[in-house]
Amino acid sequence: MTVRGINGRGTAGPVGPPGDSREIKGKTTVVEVLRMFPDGEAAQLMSRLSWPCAHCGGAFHEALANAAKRHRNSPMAVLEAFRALCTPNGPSEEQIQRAAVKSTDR
Amino acid sequence: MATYSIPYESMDPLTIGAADDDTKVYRDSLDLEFPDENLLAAIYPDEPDPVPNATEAARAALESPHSGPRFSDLLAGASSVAVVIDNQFRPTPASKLLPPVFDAIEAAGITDARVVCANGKVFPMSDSDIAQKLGEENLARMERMGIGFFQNEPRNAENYSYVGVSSRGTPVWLHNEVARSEVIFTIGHAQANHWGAGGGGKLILPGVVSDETVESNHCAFVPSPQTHYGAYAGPMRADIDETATMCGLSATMNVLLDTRGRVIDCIYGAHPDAHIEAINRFNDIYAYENPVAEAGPADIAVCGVFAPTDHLFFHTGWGCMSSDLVVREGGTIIYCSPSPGVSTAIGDFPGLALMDLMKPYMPPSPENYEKVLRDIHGRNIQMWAGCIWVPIYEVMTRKHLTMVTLEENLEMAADIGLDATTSLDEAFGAAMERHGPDAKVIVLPFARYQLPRNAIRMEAEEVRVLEQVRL
Repeated sequence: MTVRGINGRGTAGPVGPPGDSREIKGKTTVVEVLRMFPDGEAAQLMSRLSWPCAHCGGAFHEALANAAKRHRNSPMAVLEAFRALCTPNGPSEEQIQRAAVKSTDR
Repeated sequence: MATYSIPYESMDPLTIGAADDDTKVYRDSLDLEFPDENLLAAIYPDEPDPVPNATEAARAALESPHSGPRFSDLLAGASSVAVVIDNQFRPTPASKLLPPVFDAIEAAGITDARVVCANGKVFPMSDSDIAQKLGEENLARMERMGIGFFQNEPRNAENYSYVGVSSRGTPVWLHNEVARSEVIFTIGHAQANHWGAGGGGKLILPGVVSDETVESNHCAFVPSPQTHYGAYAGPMRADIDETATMCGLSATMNVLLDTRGRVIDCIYGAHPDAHIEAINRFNDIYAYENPVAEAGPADIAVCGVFAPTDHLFFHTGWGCMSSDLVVREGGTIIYCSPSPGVSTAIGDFPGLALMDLMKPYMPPSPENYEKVLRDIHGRNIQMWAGCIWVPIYEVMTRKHLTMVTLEENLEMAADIGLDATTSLDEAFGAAMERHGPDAKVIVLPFARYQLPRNAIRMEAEEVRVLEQVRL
């Protein structure tokens, strides 16, 4: 770990959205998605979905679709939102809201 | 009128524990001035001097057990050993404590040995973290001695062996590398905390057990009113220690770290006695006489953040639960935490990372807390993280929390719904406005360590009655 913010931000810079060769698929792991967006966009989207995955030991093995199921979100809606990170404007509020719906929401 | 110094610090725990890298250290303090007549208490602990050499203190402790056999005697005749250490988010200086442990393993002629990182459900240490935590010399020695290094992988069921069910109903699966070891030994940082205490058996649960074991324990016991600062006897810590016993934890080495992150004591001995002794010594230093009985509860607590914490409010903010014990219902907790965030191998985390998990339940209210409880038991909330944000949230349903922090955290705080500012004076002024000119103020500069002495409960209830009936 390195200190971020006080003695200067971390050195990781943006690498831009993944190209075709790094398309986000259901089997892409949480860590792979996080690494595609070192500026934190994927982590922020997980935060919007109320997922602690960015900090979880399971992230190294857990595929995005399985993570969606585990957190009772729609895998399709989640994939759509994460794939939208690769577009210039990122996911729309509507896409995020759709992805955030829990199957057991009361 | 008096001025009080509030620590406002942030350090990488690996820096404190092992790397001695001052470039990663941020020490600052905030001054707060207010009239004497508002002061309920300002608690500044009387800390002993640090030990001159942590490695030698560990070596001496291993051969002077608080209870049980000396480490060399424990290893004599044993065929295998697991040394369980804590992770990158704990400041235990493992690199300095391991050399005498490896000396003893080597002297005993044990070749079947391993070091296992008790990272629970938190992401594993990176290569760089491992190098800092264990130290390059220790890693080279481990390679020479054939000592493997493992981390917890709670979602990989094949890595775990079933142990049994604890008295309080927690099903226990233990990491295979630990389960197959004849001697199981933990090295950790002992401190009182909201969950009873850190260190000792806690390196077993949640450290090296499966997902189901962690979630079962945390779901059942985190929300209990009997889980609180000082409650070693509370259901959560009692379940942890019983589970550690079931898993065969032989002995523990426990360091006490002062508020600068330096080792002030090192206690080794049989589980759970040595850890209990460490917590007793910790409480002797950091527990304070509760002024509430004589003078009534505080309207305002002003809390600081100090060395052995880290860069995330998620870890610095534990003092919300200790200050809660001396602040009246409806009172204000002002928490001064720079929380600059961290950069890790898998990305940057902001200072309020994981606190965002409370956002769906904002604003904090009894009604929304009921929803939290439903979601805990509906398994919609992951309690490896909820074990921290849920108690902070519960305090916020009863008391006003204002965070004093770096400017870069304000946007995220606003998004979550947390009250935050960069100015202690502003936060204090607003609190005085809320509570009036006669407001009573308690200053807890080291809140994460500090607890009222009358909250301490050390003796857990004996619950394994059936074992005696079935004898």
